[in-house]
Amino acid sequence: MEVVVQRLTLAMVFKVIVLVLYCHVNALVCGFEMKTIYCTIADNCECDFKPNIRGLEWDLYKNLYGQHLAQDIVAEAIANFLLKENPIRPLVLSFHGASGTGKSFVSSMLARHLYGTAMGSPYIHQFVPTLHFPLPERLQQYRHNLKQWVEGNLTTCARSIFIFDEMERMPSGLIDVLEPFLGPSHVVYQTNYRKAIYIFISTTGQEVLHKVAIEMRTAGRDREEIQLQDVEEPLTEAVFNTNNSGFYHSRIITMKLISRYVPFLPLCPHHVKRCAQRELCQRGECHRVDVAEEVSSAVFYTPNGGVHHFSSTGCKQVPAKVNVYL
Amino acid sequence: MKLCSALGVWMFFNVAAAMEPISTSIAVGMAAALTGFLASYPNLIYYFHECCRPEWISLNKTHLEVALNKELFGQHVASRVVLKTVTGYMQNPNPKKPLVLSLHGWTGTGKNLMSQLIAESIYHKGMESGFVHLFTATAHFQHQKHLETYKEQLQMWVKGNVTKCPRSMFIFDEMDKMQPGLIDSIKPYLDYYDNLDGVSYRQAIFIFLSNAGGEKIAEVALNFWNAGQEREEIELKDLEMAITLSVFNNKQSGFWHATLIDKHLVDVYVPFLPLEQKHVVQCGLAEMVARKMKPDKEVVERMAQDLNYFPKEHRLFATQGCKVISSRLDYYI
Repeated sequence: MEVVVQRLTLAMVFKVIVLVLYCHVNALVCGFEMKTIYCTIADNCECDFKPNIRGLEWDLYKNLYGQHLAQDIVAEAIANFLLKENPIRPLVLSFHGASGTGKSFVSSMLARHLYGTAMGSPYIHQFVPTLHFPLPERLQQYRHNLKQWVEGNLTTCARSIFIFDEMERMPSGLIDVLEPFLGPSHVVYQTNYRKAIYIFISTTGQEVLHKVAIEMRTAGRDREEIQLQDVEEPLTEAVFNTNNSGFYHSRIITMKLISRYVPFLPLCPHHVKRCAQRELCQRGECHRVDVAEEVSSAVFYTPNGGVHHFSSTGCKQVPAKVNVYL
Repeated sequence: MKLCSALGVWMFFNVAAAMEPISTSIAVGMAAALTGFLASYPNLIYYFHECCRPEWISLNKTHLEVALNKELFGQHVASRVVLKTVTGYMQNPNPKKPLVLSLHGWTGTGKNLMSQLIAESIYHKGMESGFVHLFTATAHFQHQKHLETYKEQLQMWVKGNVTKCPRSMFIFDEMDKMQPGLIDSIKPYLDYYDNLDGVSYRQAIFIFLSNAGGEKIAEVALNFWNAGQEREEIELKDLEMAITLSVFNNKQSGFWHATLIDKHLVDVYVPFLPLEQKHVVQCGLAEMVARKMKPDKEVVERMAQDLNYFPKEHRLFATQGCKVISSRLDYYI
């Protein structure tokens, strides 16, 4: 018996030694083998992906003001997506809303709670058209580069996050090159490309949302009563038909590749006040409620004159105004 | 081999004859002490050459306050707003976006002077610092047909300098003459991003100077005067709305249809009121002091009388502000 055990141990040791030697000789196989060995020892092989769904939900519901629709949709979509070990298709979210309503804020929240190191992580890729795709005549080159970039990064890390900001400035026809990656039936070698998350951020459709919000208000109903069904249809239509939305007549919309539309409603004065309050607390001046009041009345509102309706800048001007009034 | 070792031994003995144990040990001891002393001041080298460190870049609040009171005349709103904004921003250890100031107003009212004062209170070398960059639309971005090149170069310049030193300052003069669309190329750098392509722009400062909105501001000041109110009663909120509307719609302005306004990336719009005669007199006196002459109120008042004022009936505000004073003064002395 002991002899058998000894022989087995010896065999194992022998195998490991041969493997190591073999690896030194053959680098190509080496990577794969080493990764397999490492993966069997360490249990985290998905590029320091540490999802903290509880933390994300808490952050969403505590720190995002005035976006009941966005909170529900994002929390639900992310939770459902991450619970599946092998999802059928990637998660594609499209954020729509006026500036200052919290779209980039939510995407950075997502990044922070899904990857330990927030926006500094190398597996989170952010594209800004003004910086990365400025010249319209180089469209073909951008398409080629974008496809290669996305493909390469999906191969390195299946759980990548791709954020496309300012979609309204994206040259039309560019984003269509991603169509195969967003759907359920494509082949990308050596990786499960369906585990990625795509976020499209744009201000297209803000008029639709503004209109719905005003209608609710004039009908005397609560803002929280706005449901997704009220806005989804007109929003999709606006996105498809507006010619500077990046998705203009795009197959991504016709093939229904966007998993969820996330609308961001315009903010009311009391939301701006809460933003100001939070900013003050961050500076240790929580008690200065008068400053919060002043700031919320100093921000610009539309429509002008008459009753204050919705802030035209969201919470964007709040930190600067807090500086002035403090 | 034998020769080498013999040579070595011979050299050793010769040198050994010169090495006296006591003085050697004193010399070695002193060298060690000096090294130890210098090692406790790792920043010593940084005192001699400008670097991107707090020794060269830090806000001197008193300096800014004093300078704004003593050197800038007639701009109570602008001084207060700039002092509060700059102090608040520099004290924030983790700002969410870069500081973007937009200085608007009549010509000769002190916009360039204000940007110089800000630079001098933050950077020890003031405007001469390697981290302060000044762009003038008419000088740096002259030709319409090279717009795309300018955009690319501007992006690379800003990106390169912020990578080198996150606390860089960029001043853009004559924004109303800037080609429309040029500023759009650096718009993402002014936004609420954690970092872009690995570079964080949140500690940078951008200042835009322009004459756009000057007429609207003058209108507001005139209304206050007609209503019999004091100039010092004018507040920021009276002026702010007027500026944003006129700046956005003015086709001459570099901001025309620029997303800076759409996305509300400008932190504060700082309005500069047109100067009255008493402020021109103050400018003149300051100029005489700067030239090391004895300040003479008579002379300066005579000069101020001869300048152009508007509106024609009331002769309230100087048309060229304090701009022509230094050249005109020679004529009256």
